[in-house]
Amino acid sequence: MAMAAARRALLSHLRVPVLARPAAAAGSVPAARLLSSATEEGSKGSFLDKGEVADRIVSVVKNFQKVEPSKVSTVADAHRTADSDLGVTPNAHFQKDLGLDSLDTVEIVMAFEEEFGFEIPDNEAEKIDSIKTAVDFVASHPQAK
Amino acid sequence: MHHRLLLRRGAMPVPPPLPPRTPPPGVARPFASLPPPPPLQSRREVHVWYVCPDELNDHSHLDMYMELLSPSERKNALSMNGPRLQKDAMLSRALLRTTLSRYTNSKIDPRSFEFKKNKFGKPEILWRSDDSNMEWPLHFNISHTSSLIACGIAMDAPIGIDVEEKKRKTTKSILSLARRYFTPSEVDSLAKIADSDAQQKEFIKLWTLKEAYVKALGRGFSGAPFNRFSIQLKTNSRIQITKAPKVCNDSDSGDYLSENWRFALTELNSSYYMAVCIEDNSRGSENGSVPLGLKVWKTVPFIEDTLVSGTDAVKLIT
Repeated sequence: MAMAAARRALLSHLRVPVLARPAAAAGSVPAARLLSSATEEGSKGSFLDKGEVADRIVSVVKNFQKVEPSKVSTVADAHRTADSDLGVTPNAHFQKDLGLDSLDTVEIVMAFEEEFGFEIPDNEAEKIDSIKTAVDFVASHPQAK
Repeated sequence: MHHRLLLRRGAMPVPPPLPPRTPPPGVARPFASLPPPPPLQSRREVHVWYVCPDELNDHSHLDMYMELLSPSERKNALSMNGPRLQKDAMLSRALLRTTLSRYTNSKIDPRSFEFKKNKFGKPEILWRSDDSNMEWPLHFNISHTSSLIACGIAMDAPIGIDVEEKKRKTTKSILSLARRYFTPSEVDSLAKIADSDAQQKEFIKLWTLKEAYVKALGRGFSGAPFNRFSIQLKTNSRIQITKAPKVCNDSDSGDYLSENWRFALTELNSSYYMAVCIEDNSRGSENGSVPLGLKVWKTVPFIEDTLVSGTDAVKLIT
């Protein structure tokens, strides 16, 4: 009972985004697009600011690199944990600087999709091999939130 | 160790002169004594040679390997971040060069190989046209994990190889990864596995098989999207690949997928899954019915080779 009341109180104070995912508004101009172009200043339309994108991308990758100590069960985990505070700079290359392999990259692309709310096609995902290419890609796509 | 000297018909071009080099202390043999492996008997045979970087710490050996690299390979290895990644990058090239050299019966110096990339970025040997006597129909592919680098070799057939640590954890859930990247039938088969460890292992097996196929095809990840083909592990070690049914407004990526590929999946050293895939051009054979002949060696190039296939270290997955 107390939990339900607390939850209600909390929810009434939370700002919940009302924008639907573009995919959900099939057949009409997505609400997200309308609202964001109405509120964005200047000629950028609904593109995200590159600096903000870069910060968010770096943060996604840093979180990906950290493996909880209790979950370290392979050599790869151990290496990744040791490296997690190093190397995630705006210029970091996934393979050369972070030692990530194809399965890691696929997971990171998925993490970017979740962070920015849009699906990245395979032919584009294949070109994302560094923080910089990820930032450039996301910043140039209006669907990114 | 012994090696046979094979005589070939016709005049053999003399390998390019090499700067004089004294073998480092502790190493008895120069490059010419990479013992020739058993030949690749047929297009159905694949040989895999692997190194364990964590075990290779002798500086004189590492210097010797570094010397085999081309200037651009050396530069690339040194551009990696930190000594571990640099060493891995260097060993990967040294492994490739020494392995290829073996399959020319050491007629070609490991340092002499040149490489190019096909239009999708898959690395291949570049044979100079003036060396027509010195062309071998060798195909190769390399796979890295944190603790093992493997080089697969085949004759006359494009090859792909992928190795992953068996217990590798993913940050996303197995089913969410599968839903995003695999086919619906693969998701279903994974979803049926109740035990999460078993499910994770099955995912890794499927992942290595799909990676090996994409690498063999050589068109890149987007040239053979994972969700356009299904792989099933059937009984009797048969591994079957099927193109996913095409949805009408899909792009044409996936049109290059073919099903005439042969697979082998093994457990290596109880710690890894290794998948190998080569093109199958034999006519009339049922998909995957004739097993791929696989031989696997652990190597410390110039120092020691250990045949591990045929032992418990390499277990074919049924």
